[in-house]
Amino acid sequence: MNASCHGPGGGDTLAPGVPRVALLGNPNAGKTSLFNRLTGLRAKTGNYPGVTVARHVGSCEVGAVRFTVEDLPGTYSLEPISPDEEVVLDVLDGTIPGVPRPDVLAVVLDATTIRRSLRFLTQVLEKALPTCVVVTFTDELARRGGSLDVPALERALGVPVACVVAHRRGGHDELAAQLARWQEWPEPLLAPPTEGVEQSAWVESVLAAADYSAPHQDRVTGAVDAVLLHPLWGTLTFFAVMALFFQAIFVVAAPLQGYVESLFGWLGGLVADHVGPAWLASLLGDAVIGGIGGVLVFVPQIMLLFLLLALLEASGYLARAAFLMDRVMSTFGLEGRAFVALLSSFACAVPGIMATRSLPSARDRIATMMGAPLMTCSARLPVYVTLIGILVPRDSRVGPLGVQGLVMFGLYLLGAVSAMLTAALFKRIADRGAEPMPFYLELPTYRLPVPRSVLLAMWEPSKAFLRKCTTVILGTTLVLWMLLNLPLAGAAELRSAGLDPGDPADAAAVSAYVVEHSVAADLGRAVGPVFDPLGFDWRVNVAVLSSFGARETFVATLSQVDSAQQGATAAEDEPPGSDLGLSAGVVAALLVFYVYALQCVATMAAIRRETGSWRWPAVAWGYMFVLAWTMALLARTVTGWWAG
Amino acid sequence: MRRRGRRAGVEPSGTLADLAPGQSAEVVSVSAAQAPRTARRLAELGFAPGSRVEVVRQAPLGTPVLYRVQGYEISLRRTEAARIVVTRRTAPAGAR
Amino acid sequence: MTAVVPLHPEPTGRISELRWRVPAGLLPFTGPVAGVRGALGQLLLDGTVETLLVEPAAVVTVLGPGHGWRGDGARVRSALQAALAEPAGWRPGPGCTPLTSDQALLWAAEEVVRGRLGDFVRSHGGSLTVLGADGGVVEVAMAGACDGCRTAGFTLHSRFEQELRRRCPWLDGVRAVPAAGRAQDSDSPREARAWA
Repeated sequence: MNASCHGPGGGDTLAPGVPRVALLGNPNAGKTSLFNRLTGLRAKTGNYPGVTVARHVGSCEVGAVRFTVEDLPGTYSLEPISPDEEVVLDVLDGTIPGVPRPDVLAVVLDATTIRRSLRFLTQVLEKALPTCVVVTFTDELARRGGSLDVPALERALGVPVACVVAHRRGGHDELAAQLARWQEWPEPLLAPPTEGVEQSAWVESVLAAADYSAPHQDRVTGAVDAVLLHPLWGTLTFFAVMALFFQAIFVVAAPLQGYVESLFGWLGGLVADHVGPAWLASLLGDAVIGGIGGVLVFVPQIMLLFLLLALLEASGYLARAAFLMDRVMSTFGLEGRAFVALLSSFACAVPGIMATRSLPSARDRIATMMGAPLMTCSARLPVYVTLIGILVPRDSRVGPLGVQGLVMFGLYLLGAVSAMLTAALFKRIADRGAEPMPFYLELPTYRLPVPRSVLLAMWEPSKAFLRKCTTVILGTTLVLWMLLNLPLAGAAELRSAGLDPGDPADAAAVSAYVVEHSVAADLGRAVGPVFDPLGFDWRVNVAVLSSFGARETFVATLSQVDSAQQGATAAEDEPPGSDLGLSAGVVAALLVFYVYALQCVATMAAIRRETGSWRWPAVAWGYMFVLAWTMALLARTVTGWWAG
Repeated sequence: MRRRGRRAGVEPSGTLADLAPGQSAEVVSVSAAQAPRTARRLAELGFAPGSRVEVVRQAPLGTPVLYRVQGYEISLRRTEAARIVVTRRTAPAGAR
Repeated sequence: MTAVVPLHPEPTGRISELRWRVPAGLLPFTGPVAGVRGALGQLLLDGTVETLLVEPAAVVTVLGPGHGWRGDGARVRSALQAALAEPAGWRPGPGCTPLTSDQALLWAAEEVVRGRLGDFVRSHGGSLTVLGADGGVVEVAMAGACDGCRTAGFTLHSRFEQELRRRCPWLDGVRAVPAAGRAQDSDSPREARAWA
């Protein structure tokens, strides 16, 4: 095989002097699967500078010629109406700093919708860059009784035309070989008309010359849609699919995450056993290993989510789900596709935020990302369990229902409603003054997912998450460790406090002593004025501050501070913190605070990754803190009235 | 269905949002009032004057509605469909 | 939209020339054009278009010296588009031959044979020859591997006839004639199968 796109990899995909190929096409035209074919595992995902639009760049080698391939966002037109489409136009015009103008364009046209796509092609040809056309889904066209004479199409268009079928290998080599000859490509003497009747005349004439006959409606798709979009059966199937989807990322991922946690727990244990100085063992065990573990623990969920999302998307069901949910989501100013992202956030906001990629509009993506962290994620669960345990006696009931369960349900509901309202608010702010983007959703024929693309769709976000989020999360863990452990308490100091650092029985008390005298404790006292209205004392403040890295830390820190206060003798069967003597109002305030506050570095890092700047994580953190504080005050006041 | 008189074989003027599943019509124009870019995009998606559109089905909650145009299926919300002025042929659709 | 004449250019190999594909038989003659009503005629007069040549399913435009497609192409296209809407406005030049509907049919049939369908038949070891067109009916000879092939009739009537009808909607039918001579008539698919 002389035209290989899978040769040994190299890091310099953005090397100067290497010809740059840009892939363009309508959404669903098979562009991404072509990109995956050409670049394999050698693709990188980033963002276009200054906009919330993902950028995919990879490299491809044909014989001795090497290319940089860029997968531009799918678009129906070069008359942009959204930031994503503007990016396509700006890339073609070379007006984005740091993003050079492509040397070669490859326009991907779906043979089954070519009448529409040819209009798009006229807009691309107007740019007068060396262009070739890649026709996809000719197999489906033939199966549905249509036909297209590809060599005749090539004559009619006046540019090279290659034919690529997703499930077969052949065409890709020919395309690669064609790309290698790009400098010899003919240039059309006259670019086709881009509008009006002349454009229609051109499109019809080209199609006639290529003996095009349109495919008839896909029988399988029609029959399946009659069920899947049926008012009753369609709705039932939808809820079943979503329940399975949610179960998978929530339940199936849990044991995998358990393995990751126990692996890192074991590693931490090794460090504790074999590393001499206690502070170094703690630094390595809690901060470094704990930090890396804190990143890796998200990977099973992310991989599973993207596996399922890729399957749903590639098969065509995701578009149906969006079709079914659009009416509901439109109440909140969003569109159907946002549903899946918000649903995923019930498991974890990180995959939820990453799932916003399936939304075609940047404004919708931002609005959804701002709402998603309010969905009750699995990390809030231990916090809720602990605090509800303090607030509500286990056996209190309302009729047949346990009050603990009711409070838990109420918190989930509060989170979901707040998420939707927040997203609606952000969408309204984003849309103000602008002409609202029309909603249109293509329902592609049901297609068999391409395994390669599905696997890449699973791998790529996980890799990106690991690469981009490790530093942020690890850094935060280190800083928090330092806050909680510095200044280092020497052995002499501990002994003078009546503790024996060498005695394992005193270990809990030692760590409690360290926390109580740490920078974090000083901070906890310093931020007192902020949290005083909520009734939080310095101990609660330390726990809240420590959980700004990750919510579940709250429980551990609270028990540390708690034992610091009570000595190491706190009863084991009581929830941590129950000895702190917190009033019902303060516990309610804490619960509500955790509903709203963005105490998750991983979420911040994910928003940063998806939006390409720290602006949106900062906005999210800020608004959620203000919201959390206000709602906690409200909760404390209301509980105070009710209890008093 | 609105009826404002009929000419030979043509039942003029209604919007795409007025059609029921199974019915088809020919696009007359796309109203550009207030939303010129939306109008342009709808035309680019295939809802251009002269195109035949068939209503395939509607979502259980009434909107969006799935249309078949230029050989593919795309759904629009009713608000957008209401911008597309169509004319219904009383004769069965023979042409593509 | 239905009234617009389909039109697109293809290169001929010379930079000053474009061959514009138009529906077969749209213009009732072939050969050099003496004049055209409207904007295209103006372009011919002022030398932007040096030569205008009509082929059975195409119009060849040759730009005059000092003119280029980048600068003048869009004007030429608009003028041509408008002129094609009015075939009666075209004046044949000296040396033109009239083009009857049968001649257009014959030409289109030969183009189909030269194209994808002919390739398909040849790749199966058969051959397809257009013998003539008369009164809207095209006569075709199928030989080689087509002789005795079960699918020859299908190829002829479903594919050949369909592709030809798309080019020439006035086509009445296709008649297969044994390669040896023009004897048995087998217009209906059933007979074609029996013969094949």
